[in-house]
Amino acid sequence: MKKIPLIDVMEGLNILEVLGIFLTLLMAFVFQFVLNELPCPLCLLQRIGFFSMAFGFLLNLRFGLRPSHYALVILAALFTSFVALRQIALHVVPGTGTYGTPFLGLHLYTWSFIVSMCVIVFTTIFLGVDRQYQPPSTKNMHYPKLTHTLFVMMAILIIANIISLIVMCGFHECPENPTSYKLTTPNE
Amino acid sequence: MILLIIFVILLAATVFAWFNQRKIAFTLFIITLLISIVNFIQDMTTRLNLQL
Repeated sequence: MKKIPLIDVMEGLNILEVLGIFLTLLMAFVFQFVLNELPCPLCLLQRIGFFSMAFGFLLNLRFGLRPSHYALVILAALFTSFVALRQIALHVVPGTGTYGTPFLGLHLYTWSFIVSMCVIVFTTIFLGVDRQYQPPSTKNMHYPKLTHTLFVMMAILIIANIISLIVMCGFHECPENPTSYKLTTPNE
Repeated sequence: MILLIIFVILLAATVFAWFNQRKIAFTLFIITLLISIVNFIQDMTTRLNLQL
């Protein structure tokens, strides 16, 4: 049986993590547009955190596996977990209300906390695999087409978020509890 | 507004990384993360008048 090189396995795992994060961000869009649940400022900060995690993994795919890229992912995941924990704390006391519809019994900010904690754990494990690292001069990008596709997906998702943000808040500070799109309902 | 700025810088970082400009992408990413942290702390301290 042909042995798969460790680098390919690690890059495959990185791709899986990026796809998982993109799926999470797409789910957020489904909640926004299908269920008409507009994201609050803290929700948007969590989205930024998820994009930042994906960015770290994409750096790994583009420039080769490096501990500094994993460090960025862990930093971004820590940031996201703090923001999610803050939002959980806002609603954790019974009677203080919740934000949005629960998904599988938990609200999106709770899922956000769980996912970012999982990313921290998995990334720390990945970071510890010493044999994956190669000198910076070696040829990178083992999956060039897939890497370029992931970059395009990331750019499209960020642009979609920028457009949604402009339509929702205009060029002002977003309201704490948004109920309608500012640009489509100018009289409110 | 600040969220919009963060998204735009993140987009720029992604594009620079895509076109093989690692240092610029890295710097832009760190700036994004720093602004996000400042925004989060500002949100915590001012939006709800929390006493920390």
